[in-house]
Amino acid sequence: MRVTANMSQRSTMRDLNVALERLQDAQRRLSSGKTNERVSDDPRAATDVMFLRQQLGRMDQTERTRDDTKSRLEVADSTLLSASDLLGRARELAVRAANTGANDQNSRAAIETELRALREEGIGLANTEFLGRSIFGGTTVMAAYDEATGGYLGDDIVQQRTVDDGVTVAANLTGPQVFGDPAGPGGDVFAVLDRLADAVRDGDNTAMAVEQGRLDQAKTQIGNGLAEVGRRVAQLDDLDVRTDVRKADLQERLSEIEDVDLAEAIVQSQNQENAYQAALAAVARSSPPSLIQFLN
Amino acid sequence: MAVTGIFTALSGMSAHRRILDTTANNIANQITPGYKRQVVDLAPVSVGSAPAVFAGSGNRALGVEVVDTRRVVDQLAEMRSRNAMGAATDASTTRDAMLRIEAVFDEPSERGLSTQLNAFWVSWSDLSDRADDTVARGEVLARAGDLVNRMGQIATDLERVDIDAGRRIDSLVSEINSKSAQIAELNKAIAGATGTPNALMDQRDVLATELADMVGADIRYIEEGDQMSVTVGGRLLVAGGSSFEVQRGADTIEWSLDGTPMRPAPSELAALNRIQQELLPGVRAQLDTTVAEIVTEVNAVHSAGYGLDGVTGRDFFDPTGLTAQTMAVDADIVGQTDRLAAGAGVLPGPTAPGPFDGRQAQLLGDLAVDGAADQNYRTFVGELGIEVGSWVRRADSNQQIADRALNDAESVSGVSIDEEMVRMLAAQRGYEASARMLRAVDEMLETVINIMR
Repeated sequence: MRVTANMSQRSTMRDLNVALERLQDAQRRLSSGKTNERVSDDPRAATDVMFLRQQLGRMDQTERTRDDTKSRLEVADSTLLSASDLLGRARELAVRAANTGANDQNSRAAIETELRALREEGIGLANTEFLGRSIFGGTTVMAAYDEATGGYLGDDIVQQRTVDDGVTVAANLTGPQVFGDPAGPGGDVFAVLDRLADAVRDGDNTAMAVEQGRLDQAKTQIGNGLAEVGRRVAQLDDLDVRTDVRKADLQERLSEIEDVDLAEAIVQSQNQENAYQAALAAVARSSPPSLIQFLN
Repeated sequence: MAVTGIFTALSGMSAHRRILDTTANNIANQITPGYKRQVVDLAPVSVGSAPAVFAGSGNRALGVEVVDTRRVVDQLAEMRSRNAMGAATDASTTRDAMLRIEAVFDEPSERGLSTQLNAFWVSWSDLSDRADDTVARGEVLARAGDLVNRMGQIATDLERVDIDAGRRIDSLVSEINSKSAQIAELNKAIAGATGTPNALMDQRDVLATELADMVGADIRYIEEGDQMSVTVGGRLLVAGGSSFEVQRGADTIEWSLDGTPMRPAPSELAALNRIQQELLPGVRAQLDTTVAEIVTEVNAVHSAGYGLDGVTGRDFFDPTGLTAQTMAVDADIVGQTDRLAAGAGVLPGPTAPGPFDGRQAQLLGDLAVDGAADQNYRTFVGELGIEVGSWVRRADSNQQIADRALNDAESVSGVSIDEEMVRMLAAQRGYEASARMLRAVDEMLETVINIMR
């Protein structure tokens, strides 16, 4: 095959261009830190990256939901603890009132006053808010209990939160769930306290005994609520740990796919640079030897 | 006899001078595009190939004559190279457009549509935690706005690719008409020329190569290479001294004569047609499918939920905007954060509806995995990437094939300096020898004249 000046010029240009293109590619990788800039570089990897990013975004979101849910439950927890203490105190008072007997009018009046104060304090606890919303009122925007009458104003909606893919946890306990059903036989705990105070005032020992039993029941119910809250918080803590591990896995996979191995990239870029320089040197030395140099 | 010798030597001198001239021309044109190297064909001049005329004295050689100055062309290699270049241009034009389309989507970067889509879904999930929070509601609307804007941006960018392809087709029309007219003119000039109009033929070949690149023209020579005829898709574009006009049709280029579309072989026009008629509509259809999925899925869940104002049955996106171009947040919702239906439609308890429970917002956020839009969009981007990659590789290999074919043609027609140098030396020596011969004959004649004295 004849070789002409044009041919060798064209192939030289092409080879130089290819070498330069590779060099640029290697340098782009090095500077961007990503292996694939375009989908067409590796479509499979690109769709994986998109999927992993979506998953990570959702995990970040459920983490926010978990934090929010946990905060709510922790507020409920401390409130219920206070409520439980409060009922303990009320029970003490009830026992003392029963022992005082019918004669000591003054003592009973004092006990009655304290019981009514405890009831008010209890309603205040039941109206505890988180971010301007009653935590025991379901989804209501109002206070959970009427300050004056102690009537329940909320609804019985349990707010299920998606705290992980496919896992839901209730973020609230409604008033009736912890403080007793106002429509039940004995009413809720505030009705019990009210009647207990009445019984103490009237010195009605029989009624006092009945209400004291109901008080014990109410305390048990709050204890159950506390246990439930504790269980949910523990579940969320457990999910935190597990999703952290999963998130780290996903991040590692994402990094494996899209991040450049720095050492390798540096070596590669160096290699390409050498190759380009070698190509340039070869062109400078070899092009184009011709007979002209030997004629004279 | 000696007198003939003078002319024999003279013919040698002039023949070698012609060779030197041609060599000079070759060297001067060694990098001229489309130039084919020329060689001088020599033949001995002999009188009396028919013995009867000069009977007795035998055949006498009367020197050398220049038969022709001929271009060295391998028409088959030229044809292969033209076809290969058309295919290479076809693939590289398509590749460039596909790379532009790919860049429009800008995946898998953090500026891509998928990121915006994720942010939209996540904003709903965040809202479900604080269903009555105006900030969280505003965030959903802002993310939806981002998504809609991005879709519109993508649609506009795709439109721009389309417009650019159309503009290139526009400019091809005048180029084709002017080049085919020039070929027809050159055909006429070549037919009427005396001698061998090598320069005109070179010009004509350059035009033919350009036409092949633009519309995949098929080149043929009739009447022993004098006349070039050009056909596209089996129809004559140039025949001898006349050419046929083409014009811009609705979709592509058509023949002015009867308005039927041109059917180009692999070439720039074929690539532009493919971009406008297959690739872009395909991409647009896929994108619109994604939009339609998002709109209908979101609306289905949203219209079942309740807004803060207790109203249900509202669409979130404009249900008529099912394309990337027309996608929009419903006019009822725009700027009205309290109308977002975050609350569940059906509740377990007796209190209904509950706009603050955020259950519907959670369902909307879960569309990221429960809905078809995300998954299908990812699949579409993956498929687009595969197609772009295949065009990149095809353009690469077609370019290599074209380079090789070009080299094949070039190896026949290209100017080799070494060769020209050798020919120059030979011609120089031939010229010197002929001149020396002339002197010898002259001396001989002088001897004869001196005898007479």
